[in-house]
Amino acid sequence: MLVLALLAVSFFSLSVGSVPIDLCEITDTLFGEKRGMASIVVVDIRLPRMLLAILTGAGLGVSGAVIQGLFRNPLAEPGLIGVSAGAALGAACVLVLGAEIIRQIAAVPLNVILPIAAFIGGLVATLLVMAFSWSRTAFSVTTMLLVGLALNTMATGGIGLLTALTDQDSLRNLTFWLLGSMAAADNDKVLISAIIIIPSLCWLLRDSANLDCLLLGESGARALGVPVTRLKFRLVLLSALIVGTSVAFAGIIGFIGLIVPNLLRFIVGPMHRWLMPASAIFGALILVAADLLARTVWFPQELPIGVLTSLIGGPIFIFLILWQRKKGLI
Amino acid sequence: MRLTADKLIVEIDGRTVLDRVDFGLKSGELVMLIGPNGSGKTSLIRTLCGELLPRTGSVLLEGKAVDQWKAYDRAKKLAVLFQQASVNFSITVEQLIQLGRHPYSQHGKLDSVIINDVMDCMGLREMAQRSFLSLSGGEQQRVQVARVLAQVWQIESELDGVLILDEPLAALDIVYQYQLLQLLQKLRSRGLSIVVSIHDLNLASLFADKMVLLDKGRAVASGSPESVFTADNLQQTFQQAVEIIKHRHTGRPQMLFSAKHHPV
Repeated sequence: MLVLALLAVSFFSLSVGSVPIDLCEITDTLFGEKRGMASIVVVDIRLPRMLLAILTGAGLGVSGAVIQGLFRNPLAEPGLIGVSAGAALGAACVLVLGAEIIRQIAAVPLNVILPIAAFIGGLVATLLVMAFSWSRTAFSVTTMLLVGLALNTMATGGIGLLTALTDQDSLRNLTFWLLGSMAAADNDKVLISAIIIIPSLCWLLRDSANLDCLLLGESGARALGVPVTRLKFRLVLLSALIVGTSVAFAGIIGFIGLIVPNLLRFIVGPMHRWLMPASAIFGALILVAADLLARTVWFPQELPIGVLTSLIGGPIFIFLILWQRKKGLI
Repeated sequence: MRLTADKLIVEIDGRTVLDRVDFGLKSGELVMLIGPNGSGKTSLIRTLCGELLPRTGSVLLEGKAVDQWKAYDRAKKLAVLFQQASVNFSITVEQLIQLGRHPYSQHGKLDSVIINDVMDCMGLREMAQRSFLSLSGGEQQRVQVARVLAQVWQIESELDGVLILDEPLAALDIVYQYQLLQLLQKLRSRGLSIVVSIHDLNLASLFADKMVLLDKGRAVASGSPESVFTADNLQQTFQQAVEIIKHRHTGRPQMLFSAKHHPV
């Protein structure tokens, strides 16, 4: 059902926009030979945008489920361990400080440098969290969360500082970037996202049974034969890869990693064998829909996609907190 | 011997929690660990299953060092239930018990037979589809015991595994306490080797084949209930004046607090 809904929304998102294109024309351009105005709009503009939304949404949905399983807490989010903020800081640094320098040295377009910087920032943040929270023989999840919180604060501070230093033009660019958008999508970005996100997702799916065991706590999982330390390393690294890539190409899109797995737990239950694939599809669905709204509701202006997901996600987050408190979990 | 430990010295943060402890568990034997809070029962359990590494001494599971086993092979031989095994997601009883079958690569009909078996053992059949979080503390405990049972369960054959339970009676009412110990006794006669830490000394004495009395990280007495469960041993360890009487049916030693030492 989720797959069908995703297909429907995807086709709809291809057809709606400043140039309305009917569904027959879309199937013609996708599967036929016809080249024209419609095909340029669909293939060159809307299709990459939609594919990027699908990849990013699937990635964020699954990494949300993974991080929640890892922390054994449904309120956890990839952004919590500082990856998103680290990635954003990396991007901000390049935007404000280093763009000119790097462009002159490497002769690479800013479009390519930005995502790479965001990706590196995300990875560095993750590695820092991992290094700090490693004590003797095991990760401490509490330390990991607290260090993630500190990194988030520092990264936000860093971004604020850069915003204060910068001139008006790149500031606007920066704000837009930090609230997320699919507007920058092109074929290169889709390709790079696909190369990183799809294999990472497949790898994560293989760990679904191990993640189930982690519901019992680390000692409990180890007693079932799960190599917990290696598993945690792998999960953190892969979700950092996915979140870093998605921040790099679409900015910080909050709450997808939180909303998607939590809503799905009500439907498919907490077992990761079902939860993870469902999160991939539902995450993609939500992000395609959100992007569709972002570029149509305030037409011809475009809303940052993160504004939408945060406006919808915030209340759901509060609802989850209340629900958990009622259940006596927090 | 299924599980042995030799002169274990275990330290946590520089503090010695086990001091030259020896331990032996034969196949089909039920060993009870007793001792005051902080005497080292949990540390011994965590060391026996390989969670804590001893500074000196060794733990052997079927003659092979417990940390040398392949993780999944060991999990098929040795199941352990730790204290405070909390779960934060709304998983059903049946799904949670199913996790006990994780070490086995083949999943299918055998698993569901085993899961039904252990649910029957623990009287959980009718709550199979309920959410674990909606259960009472005692019910949750029974589900957790069923899960570790599923891990070493075999159909219609001798059970050759080791089951370690850290205070499984906590949160159980007296009827379920008694029933669980009766069940363990039955499983023991099917070959399962069982280690249980327990606070109820009289129940321990009634059901144990062997007892280990721990105090400040040392095994101060170990052997048959008759040899361990003496007024001297208990008085020294628990700093309480006690009397020992014989259980009317089994002849096992039972403990009473000596009223004459109580302030009136």
